[in-house]
Amino acid sequence: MPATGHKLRTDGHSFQPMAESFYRTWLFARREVVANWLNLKIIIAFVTMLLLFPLSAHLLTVDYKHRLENWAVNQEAQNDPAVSGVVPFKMADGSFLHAAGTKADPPLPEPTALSVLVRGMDKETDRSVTVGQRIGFGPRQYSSNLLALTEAPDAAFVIKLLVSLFALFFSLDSVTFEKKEGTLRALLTHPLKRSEMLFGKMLGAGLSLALPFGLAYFSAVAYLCWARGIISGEEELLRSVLIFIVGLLYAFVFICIGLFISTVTARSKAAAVTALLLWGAVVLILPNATVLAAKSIFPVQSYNHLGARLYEARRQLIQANLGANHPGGSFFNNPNARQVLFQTYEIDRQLTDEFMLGKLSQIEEAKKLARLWPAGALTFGLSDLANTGTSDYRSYVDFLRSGRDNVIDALKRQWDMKPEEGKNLIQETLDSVSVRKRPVTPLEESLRAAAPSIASLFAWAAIFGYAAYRRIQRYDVR
Amino acid sequence: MFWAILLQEIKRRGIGVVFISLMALLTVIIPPSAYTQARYYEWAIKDRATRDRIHQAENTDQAAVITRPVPRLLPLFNGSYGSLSDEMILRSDSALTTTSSENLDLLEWLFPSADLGLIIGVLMTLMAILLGHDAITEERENGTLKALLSCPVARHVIWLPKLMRTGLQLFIALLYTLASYIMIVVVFSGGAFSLDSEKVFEIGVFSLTGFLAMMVYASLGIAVSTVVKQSSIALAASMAIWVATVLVWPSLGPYIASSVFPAPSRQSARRVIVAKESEMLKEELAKYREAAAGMAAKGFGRDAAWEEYIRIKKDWTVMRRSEVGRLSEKEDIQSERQQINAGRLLCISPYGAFREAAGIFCSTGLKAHGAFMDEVERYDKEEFLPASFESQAGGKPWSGELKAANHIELRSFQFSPPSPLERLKDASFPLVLLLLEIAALVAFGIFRFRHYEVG
Repeated sequence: MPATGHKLRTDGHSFQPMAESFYRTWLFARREVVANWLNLKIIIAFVTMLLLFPLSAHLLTVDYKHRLENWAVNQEAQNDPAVSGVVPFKMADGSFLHAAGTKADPPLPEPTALSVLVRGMDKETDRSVTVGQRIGFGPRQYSSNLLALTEAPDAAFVIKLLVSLFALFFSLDSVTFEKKEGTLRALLTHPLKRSEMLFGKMLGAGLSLALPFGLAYFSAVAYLCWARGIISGEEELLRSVLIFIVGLLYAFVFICIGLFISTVTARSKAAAVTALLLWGAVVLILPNATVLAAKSIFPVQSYNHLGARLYEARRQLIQANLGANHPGGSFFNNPNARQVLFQTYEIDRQLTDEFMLGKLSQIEEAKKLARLWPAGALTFGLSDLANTGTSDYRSYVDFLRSGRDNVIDALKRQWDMKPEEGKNLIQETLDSVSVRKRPVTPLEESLRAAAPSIASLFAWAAIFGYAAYRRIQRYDVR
Repeated sequence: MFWAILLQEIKRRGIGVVFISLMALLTVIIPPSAYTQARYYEWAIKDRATRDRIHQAENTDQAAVITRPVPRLLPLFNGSYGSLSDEMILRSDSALTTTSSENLDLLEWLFPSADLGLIIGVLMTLMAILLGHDAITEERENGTLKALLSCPVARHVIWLPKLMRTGLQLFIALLYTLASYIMIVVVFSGGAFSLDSEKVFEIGVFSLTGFLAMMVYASLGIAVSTVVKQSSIALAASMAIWVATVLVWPSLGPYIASSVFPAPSRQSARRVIVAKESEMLKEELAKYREAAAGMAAKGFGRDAAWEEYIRIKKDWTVMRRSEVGRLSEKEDIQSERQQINAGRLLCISPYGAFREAAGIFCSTGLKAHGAFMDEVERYDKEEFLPASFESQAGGKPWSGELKAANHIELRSFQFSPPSPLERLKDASFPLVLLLLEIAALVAFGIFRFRHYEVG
């Protein structure tokens, strides 16, 4: 043992300098936390977030319950008997038929429980869907048209806007205030590393924010778990925790941005104005503009355009193959009927797949562009973790397509069966397709999908953290 | 004296670092937003034209599809267009017009459109706060306020020029934003967006609404500056109000409204209507069977039988629609009540009021969508149904001709927004609210400044 009594690492260096460095960093952090407490910043953040997170949880819960009720009624209605009939009018010199029927709306997918935290693309999947020869999407199930105009005030919304603002709030004047008071000069003349001071401030701002954020967020989660029973099960709780962690990482990005601005500007006011403008651009405008840019660069026809094309293609096919006149009575009496029908199935499949794959590619490109910004990365990352993301939508579309393919296969096979058997086959296939449950993306896959977004947030934090570090290293004390 | 103070205010603070930074930010943000909106508008026009062409060719006496014209000012404010259906399916054998699917706009929920409404309503109102929040506090911190207050002038003569200076800066920024945005949209929309006198008037009114919203926040900033003693606290307080009214309330408001004024769930309402339709359909089918048997017994020819059948069908169609209309009326009234209350709640926020007014002027709001739905109902009753039955009456299904014979030519669906003056009248509620908010904040600011103590 050396004379000092300190343990040695096997390479002969002492732990002491590292421990001391960490201790000094911790002292700075504690100083920041105490300052933020005394100037009421932590209390203001806590009160605001404690108001907004539970309110958001409550409102989204009311909305979720409404959607769930809507879905339950829709499910019950699937068992309502369909009324239909065919009435023949047989006269001596000719006959005709009257056919009519009515039935319930097509089935809706069940709402996702974690959409109360991150609404994501659950708003888009909340439509009735007919899976038959083609996939038919019905209108969205708003409880009010006004909800079509607004962003859902979910936890992701509160994190995106308010947590980032509070992060700036905590970090923006941490260096400029010291410059103004003259304490920075005094600190930097001491024999301590500038990086310790900077990391201490980063840690201090982070802790000052993490405490109110954590308390408010988990009080909302507790409300959803115990008061409403919406979040239950280990995986859902784990996802909620992951959402918090990514939210904290997002907040850390803005702490680094705030610190960097603080090292660059001389006055608190200039720092505040610069930070707010940057925040407005990076959180509110640029992610939205990049998504719109992706839609312009990779345009896809509208869904109703697809519908019109399908209808037109089918009619042209029938007209061209069956001719202007055919023996009276049913279309199925025509010898070409089988071939024509098979072609219509394939046209439906091809055009629909082209459209859906086009849309999904458009999303991927938009995702790549939007993830360049912290708010875009947060939005995509959180929605992936909450099972309401684009990867979940992609697997939903694949699920619908596989159902559609099963129905087309059955429609083709029925031609080689007796009419009664064919009819039963179609009915069984349609029944089996309609009762299938939408697949839930496993947690590992959600994490994989969210990984690039998380990496983007790390990159932003690293870039601005390093930039702040370089600035403080070069800061001229005189 | 007033003009001298105003001139002095403009000279000292007219072109500062903050104003230049804001203009630079606008210069960076406007081109990509305007370009993408131009391309989106061009796409919307072409998409709708293609659909319309196909539907015109494919409409039959059984079903016809109506498409809503693309609003002329869509690139300025997208509103609800794209979120709500712009196509309706009319069916002669169903009591309900069916909403065809709205577009699968998959990313719209995650990232609202970056249109001019967002730039003015969010970015430029933030600009208003940044320009106005330190109008009084900075003078105090610099020590110039004492000298200013020692002049023998009324205090409002010192206060008002600050508001006017901020207003002038915002006006210049707004003109710059409008000019560059519209120029880019005109150039890159492939000729889809062009200016005419009516459009210029509409853009002018839209801009005026935006300017009023910005002035609310400018007045707010200056009023807060009169209340607190430090610039940093003035900024924090103004920002807090801005965040609450621009970001938080417009999202929370509609959800609060839909929980306080609940409307029946869509599926519940549909189930009741489908049950009624099913019940009536059973009676209808029985009636047809009775008629078919009766006509066969009386030795009707096919032409006479067909004529009688069409008459019965028409009567039943009108009856079913009347019954179903009665049922859906109750739901429509509840939904409308919810929408009106939610709209009013939203207008409490100046940004919400701006959006409401912008939606009305640009015909992209809920009101315009409601007017489209009303016009579709009228078209269904007065154009489609009569044309459908006329076509069906002339049909001869026993002759073996294909469905192409059932194609009908319908009079083109016309849907124009109300005149600009009518839209101005519709938007009077949010506009008056904005004016009242400005007046209240100015009155409050002047009152506080009268009692302002420099010490």
